Amino acid sequence: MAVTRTSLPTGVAGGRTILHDADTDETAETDVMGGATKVNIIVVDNTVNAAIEYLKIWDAKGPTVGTTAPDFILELPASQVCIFEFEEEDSTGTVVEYVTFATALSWACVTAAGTAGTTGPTTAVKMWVHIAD
Amino acid sequence: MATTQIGLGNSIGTKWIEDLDADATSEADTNSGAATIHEVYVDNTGNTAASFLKLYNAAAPTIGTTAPDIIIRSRASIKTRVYMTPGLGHAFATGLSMACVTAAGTAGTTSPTSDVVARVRVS
Repeated sequence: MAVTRTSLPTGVAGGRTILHDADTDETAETDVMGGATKVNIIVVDNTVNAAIEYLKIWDAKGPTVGTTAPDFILELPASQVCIFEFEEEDSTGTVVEYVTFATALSWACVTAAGTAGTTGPTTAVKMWVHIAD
Repeated sequence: MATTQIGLGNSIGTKWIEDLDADATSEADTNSGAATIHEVYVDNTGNTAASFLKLYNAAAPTIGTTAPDIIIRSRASIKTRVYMTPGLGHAFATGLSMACVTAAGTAGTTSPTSDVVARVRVS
């Protein structure tokens, strides 16, 4: 199922776009924002699985799951809702509440750590991403 | 340089594990056993290229071969923080080992040009 995109009302602090992937699995969701983007918060519901899963995230438009080296790997403990909040700080001390993806934002979720692994979770996980302005 | 442990006094992590020269040399089993990770900090301001901090739920990983359980990319000249499920954290049941290299994914054994500062807040 494709990623759904919801726009929040003007005035919401930090960003106005929520992405939702209702079946995050071994099939990559690619270039979900159509180019560069800024990720503020990721929430993944792994309560549906009794095993650790791994969210792989690429700063790339069309990664090959199991082959393309992920820029981020986030371990998802078994039976847990996971929240990841991101910040970057430049050399002047300016802090922003997001990490920048200069090329594109793509992701998949598999049962294996590292680059390899093309087996999806027993039950696909649900995922939400708050995109910063 | 070996890691140091800096005690904290709150319920969202009891200490920082700090590596002031994170590079391709593995810092193995930095918590002497299991750890729950609450925050990861990567200071890559010393480098004009991205660096990748790799965390292993293992006591003695082989850098470039063992699959990392967590990878945090820090862009060129940037400090990056990731807060991991605030108030709960993410459990590493076996051990917490780390290294920092210039390549994403599992592979890569090349250190950043300048050492990176890595801190992991754990309980």
